[in-house]
Amino acid sequence: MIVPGHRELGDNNAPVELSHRETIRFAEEVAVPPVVAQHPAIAARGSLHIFGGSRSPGQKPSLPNSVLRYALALGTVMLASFVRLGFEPELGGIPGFPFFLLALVVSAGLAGFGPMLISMIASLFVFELVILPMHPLSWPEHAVQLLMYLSTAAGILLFRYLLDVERQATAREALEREQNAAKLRERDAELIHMARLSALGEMASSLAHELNQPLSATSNYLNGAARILEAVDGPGVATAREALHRAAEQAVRAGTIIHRMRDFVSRHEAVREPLDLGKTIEEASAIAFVGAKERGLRVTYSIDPSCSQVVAGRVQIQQVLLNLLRNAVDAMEQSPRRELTVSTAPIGDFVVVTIADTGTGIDPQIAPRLFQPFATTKPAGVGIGLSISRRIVEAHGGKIWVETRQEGGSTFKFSLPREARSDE
Amino acid sequence: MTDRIHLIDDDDPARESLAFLLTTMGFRVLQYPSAEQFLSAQTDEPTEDLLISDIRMPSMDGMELTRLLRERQWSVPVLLISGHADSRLAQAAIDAGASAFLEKPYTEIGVKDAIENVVRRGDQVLHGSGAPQRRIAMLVNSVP
Repeated sequence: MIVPGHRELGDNNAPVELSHRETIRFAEEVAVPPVVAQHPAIAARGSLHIFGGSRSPGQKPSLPNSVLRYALALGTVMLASFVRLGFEPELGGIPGFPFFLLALVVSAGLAGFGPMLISMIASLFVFELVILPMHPLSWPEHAVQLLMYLSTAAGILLFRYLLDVERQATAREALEREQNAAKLRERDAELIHMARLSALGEMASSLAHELNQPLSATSNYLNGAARILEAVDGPGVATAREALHRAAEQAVRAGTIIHRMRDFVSRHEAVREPLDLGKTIEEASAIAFVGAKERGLRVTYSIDPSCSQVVAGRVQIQQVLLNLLRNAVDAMEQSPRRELTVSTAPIGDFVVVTIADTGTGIDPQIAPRLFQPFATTKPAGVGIGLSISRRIVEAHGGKIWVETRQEGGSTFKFSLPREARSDE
Repeated sequence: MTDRIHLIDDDDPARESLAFLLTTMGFRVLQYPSAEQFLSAQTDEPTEDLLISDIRMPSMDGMELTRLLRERQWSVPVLLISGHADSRLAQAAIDAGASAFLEKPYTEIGVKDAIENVVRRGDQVLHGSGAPQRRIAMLVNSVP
């Protein structure tokens, strides 16, 4: 038996405090597993970044590319300046020009003619306004020509490099986005499928309970009536008695059909695996907090890694977490303070997961049947989330309960049996 | 010597209908809408009787009641009934000290067999001193 006890968060473990923005990024990083980074194509492309900035997913390409753009602008300005110089006969003039023209054609071919032309034209104006007033006429002729070729080469390389980086970054981002989206889609689909099965299971279970009572009563009354008729003689009494027995059989049969449906559904929920609860919480957070960006949510995690190992159905536990996290976010919709605390702590042979919010708390009228099917305070809610959660947790040998916080809001807790660790 | 059955179920139609059926079978049935009401009605152990209880009830459930009775060293045979039955629950019921377990909805034969089982098991529990339960067994066997 679990003794519900409140434990001050972070008293033993340094709480990991995340602002909402960080939470979202954390969520995105969780959603993009290391698989993406390990993909050979991406790893190869990633090495092209000279500024050491392998960007995290979702982050805009900011610093490295703007530095490159400045460098490119500078390079093309120099290049165009010397183009202009190439036309000055008194500076070595025409003899240097064919080489330079060739270099231009090659660079345009490499980097793309359009961008090269545009930056050259723009740069010519800069030459007239900046380079010429600096009196480069005093420079030696060969130095001018050398600089001309060097800067042309630099401009070409720079332009080419920028294009490559840009293109690769775009490709990488697209690939990451796609994989990210695919991963989320896959997980969503899995969750939706499990949610449907769970909802179906809950429906079947509730139906079985609700219908079994009247069906049992029907069968009992019919059988009882048939027994009474056994003491009665008369025309057609035997037939009536037989009919009553048959009606009773049909009532039992109806109950059996519902049982079969419930058993069918529960078979799909049987898969259990060793599970890291901290990781499962991360995964559920990644989904639960998507779309909560504008709500100014502050999430604090305090996960005790020493008690994180459980044997459970991954998607089922995710679903419990998702239900509780979503409920917490919804409950804080109108609250001035939106703080959510997710923590785990060992209590005996169990690990207790706590999700505390600063929301509206539990309506006392609904509290007694909070975990029963079809109890809801949400205008659009069906009211099976918590009853499904209870069924899942109890099927795992745990308990789920709620505590009201004195400072406002509610604290949902559930326990799961800890896995016996080999190193203990 | 008695042929009394104490029947506990919070669901009125379920309880009353089963009481009706058991009455037609020849038992005398005492009904209680909760485990607490059953307990407060007993001054001594109803050694000669049989107890039938639903498992899922709002305050004290059938399992807790059974455990409590066994803690008190009461050996009255207990038949637990549930509409939420599975093998785990059945095992838990037996572990709690129930003599038998019956799943809703049940047939007339099912009830008869379950009562018979309870009485047999009651004999075992009582190590042969279960004369009253034999009375019930005889009654059950005489039910056509």
